[in-house]
Amino acid sequence: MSAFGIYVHVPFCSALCPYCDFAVVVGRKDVHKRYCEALLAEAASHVGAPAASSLFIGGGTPTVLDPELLRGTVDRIRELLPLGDGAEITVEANPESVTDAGVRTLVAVGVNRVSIGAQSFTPHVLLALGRAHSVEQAANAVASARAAGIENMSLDLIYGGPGESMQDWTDSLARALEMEPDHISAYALTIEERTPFGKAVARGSMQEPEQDDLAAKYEIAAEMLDGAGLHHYEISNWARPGFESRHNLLYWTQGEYLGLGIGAHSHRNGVRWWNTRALTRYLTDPANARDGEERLSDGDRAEEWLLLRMRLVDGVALAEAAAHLGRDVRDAAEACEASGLVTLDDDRLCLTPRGMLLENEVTLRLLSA
Amino acid sequence: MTDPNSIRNIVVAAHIDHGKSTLADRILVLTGAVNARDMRDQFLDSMDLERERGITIKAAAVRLNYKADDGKDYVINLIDTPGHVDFTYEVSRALEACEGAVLLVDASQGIEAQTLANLHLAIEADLEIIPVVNKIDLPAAQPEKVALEIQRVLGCSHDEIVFTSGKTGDGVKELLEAVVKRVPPPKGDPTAALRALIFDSTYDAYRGVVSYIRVVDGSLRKRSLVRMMATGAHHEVEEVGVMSPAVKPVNELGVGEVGYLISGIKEIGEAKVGDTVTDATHPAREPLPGYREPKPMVYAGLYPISGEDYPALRDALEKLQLNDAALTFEPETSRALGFGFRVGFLGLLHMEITRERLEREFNLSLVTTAPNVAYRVFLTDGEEMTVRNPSEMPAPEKIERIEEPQVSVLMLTPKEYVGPLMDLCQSRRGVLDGMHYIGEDRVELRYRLPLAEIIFDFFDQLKSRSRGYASLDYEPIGYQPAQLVKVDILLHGEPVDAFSAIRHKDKAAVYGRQMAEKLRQLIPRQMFDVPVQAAIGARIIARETIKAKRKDVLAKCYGGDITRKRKLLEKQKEGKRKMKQIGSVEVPQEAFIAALQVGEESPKP
Repeated sequence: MSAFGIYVHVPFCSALCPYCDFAVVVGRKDVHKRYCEALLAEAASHVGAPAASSLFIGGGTPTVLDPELLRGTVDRIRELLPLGDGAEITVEANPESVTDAGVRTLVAVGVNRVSIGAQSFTPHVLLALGRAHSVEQAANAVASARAAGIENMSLDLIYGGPGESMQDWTDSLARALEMEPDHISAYALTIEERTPFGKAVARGSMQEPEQDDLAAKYEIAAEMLDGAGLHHYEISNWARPGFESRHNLLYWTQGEYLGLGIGAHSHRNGVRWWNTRALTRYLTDPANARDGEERLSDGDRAEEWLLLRMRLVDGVALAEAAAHLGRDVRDAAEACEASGLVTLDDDRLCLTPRGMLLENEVTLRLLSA
Repeated sequence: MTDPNSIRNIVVAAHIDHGKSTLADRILVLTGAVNARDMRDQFLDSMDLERERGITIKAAAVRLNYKADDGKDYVINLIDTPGHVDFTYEVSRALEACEGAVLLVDASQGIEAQTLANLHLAIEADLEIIPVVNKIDLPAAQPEKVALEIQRVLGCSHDEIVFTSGKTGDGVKELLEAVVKRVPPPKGDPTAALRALIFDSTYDAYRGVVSYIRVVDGSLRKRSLVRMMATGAHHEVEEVGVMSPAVKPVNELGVGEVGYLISGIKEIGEAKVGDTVTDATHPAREPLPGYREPKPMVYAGLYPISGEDYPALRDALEKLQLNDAALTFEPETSRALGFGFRVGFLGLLHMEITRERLEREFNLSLVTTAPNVAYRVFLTDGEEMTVRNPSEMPAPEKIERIEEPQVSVLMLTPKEYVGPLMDLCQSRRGVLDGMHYIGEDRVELRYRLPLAEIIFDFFDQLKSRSRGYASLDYEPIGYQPAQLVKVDILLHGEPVDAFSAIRHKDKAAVYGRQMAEKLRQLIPRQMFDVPVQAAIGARIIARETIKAKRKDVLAKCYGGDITRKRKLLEKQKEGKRKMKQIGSVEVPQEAFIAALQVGEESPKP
């Protein structure tokens, strides 16, 4: 079975997180059902897609949907767009919306991976990030997922939140590890223009996270997570061997995927397209939700390949890079090696820990060679 | 030809805004030169760009016919002067073409530094001075107080002062009567060889150079062959004439007459202000005194923001030079800013005007380096050189001494600001030359200052420390040795030419620290620590460090939105292309521009 992914976007949230840049909708319980019907209508317009190796239900907060509604929707999507055997089926959940019954329902429809948006295990940082849950709720969510039989459990963490000290971050990591997750994604807080944090920074009422602080926290994360036996397989992702996210790997390997729902992105047959972020428009005509698309030139495609592939810990072979880019990058690679950004063992170009923090620079150097 | 005895040649000297143009308009109407119905506001000013008969005529001089109370007909030539401190030499030539000067003072503002500077020039040129208190119609007018000021600086009696209003026309007739009665007629030898003074020149695309002249001796005839005594250029006279104010060609201009001359000269540099026009076949033995080569005092590097504009900048400078003999430029290359020109100006305003015209009339976006003066450098091997760009200053051990241009600065200020202004001048290495009251509460301050100390923000400081009341004039008074050093700014050990500066040794450290600090803030972090140093020769006087960049990528995958990541990369690639490489350091040009602009705001003393 070749790799193919389906992403389903559930935009509903109980509260707006001030850093979040996804298409989200607070409240609107009244349209939950209509939205799920719209997802099905959109899925129906893609009947005939290859059997999927992964299904990722993200958001938003998928678990704010009524468990029965969520179950019915997933069931019917699977009927329209079949999954291959042993597909990875992930649901994103925020701790406050995870219940024992809810998780059991998910398991019943085949969900085998849960990604919990814990973000931080420091109360004042959670508060500053505008999160609705408590540290205890995160722990309970993990326990519920395990009790329901989830064997692949991931935690999302954010570092660099307002007021987070180095110790806070170290404590958060330690608490996260205590829960024995199979996978951890740790992201630096990124300030996006159109979010409340973005506006606060533009107004000058908030400081942008300081890059030295973020870099130091990244290094702490790498050290602690590696030390706990989690394998650093992508710049921001760690997993027990065999628990790497198959869905997210599609993104880094220029794989194909189909995105359903508002703001969802797709990639098929050399075209990248994205859906409207407007809920009303989507509800009215879900089969024509496409808002824009791009077809990359061979050159752009090759550059994109390098940009994405370099994020993975096993990097790229020099010969492979030369084949994609149509020119040799050995000199630039050696210059990066001399700067301590990459290793070049067996002619394979891999980021060093320092290079992981500076992947853009490495890519730019290779591309402008 | 006009009988010299009926000619009166005058200038109107005034500080900006003291009502010169409005008063001139009134005179035009009163003498019938312009019909009251055709009168537009500030007629003379708006004449500048008017085309008549294919000639761009400048209202450099207007010939007026006036029937005086004594029943006789007079010709009054009203000669215009450039109104700024940078053009002292040009003003002095215009004065030289006259026998009288109307000294115009605003009844509410009183005497300003520029009025006083013009007055001193007029006295030096031995002109009959007619003091005028203008704008007496203003509610805030204090004509008697201003009259007292005038009496003090001029040593004249109250009776000699004329009170006018350009707005209502009051006193204008009295003024013309005073001109006719008090200004002497021009003297000259009609039988001697031709000598005519060029007091202004402009360039016309169709006719070439148009020179404005005053005949001193002999006469200037159409079709005769003339020679410019300073430049040696000779040409046949194509056309002579007067502006009354309409352009009117004549066959001949005699002793004392003022008019224009067109002789097929194509370059303004061949008919410079102050030169003497003589007859090529019977030349005069001696030129008129006082000719000077226009000499730039202030230099700055001008660079196009985008490199493709370099040829356009060169063309624009060449075009401006057609009309501006004082503008000099030569190509130079800066590692920080690319290809540009080192441009010489008469002074700060000249620089400002030129820059503005380049941007406005030629649509160029420019970076201007901090202005500097020309230094005379005496080397230990006995050689002497002129340094116009700080980065060309030789190493300290090769220098025996450096001399810098000095100026004499004249400031007029209400007395309460004398203290702050003296502090300002002291902090700029000034030496007090004199101070006295010119009225009950106004003071004339004279200082000797290095020109370099006033080309930054001196004028702004003067205005802010005096709440806008003080006025300024200055003139160059030669070179003087000074304890100067060149401060280099080094980025990772490489000098950045655009930031080299020459400073007094006591001020070098301040400049070095400020510049290093600014660059540290403006230059993006690199892959390694980058020291920013200020150095005098091999001695480091300040140091900052741009810390190495530690992270540029940690963002998440945005649910498969790869387009966004790729666009970000495109943007960074574009940014990298625009980087200037200084040694191993990459600097966006905007950082240099920002640093230069901050520099202009200038260090507080």
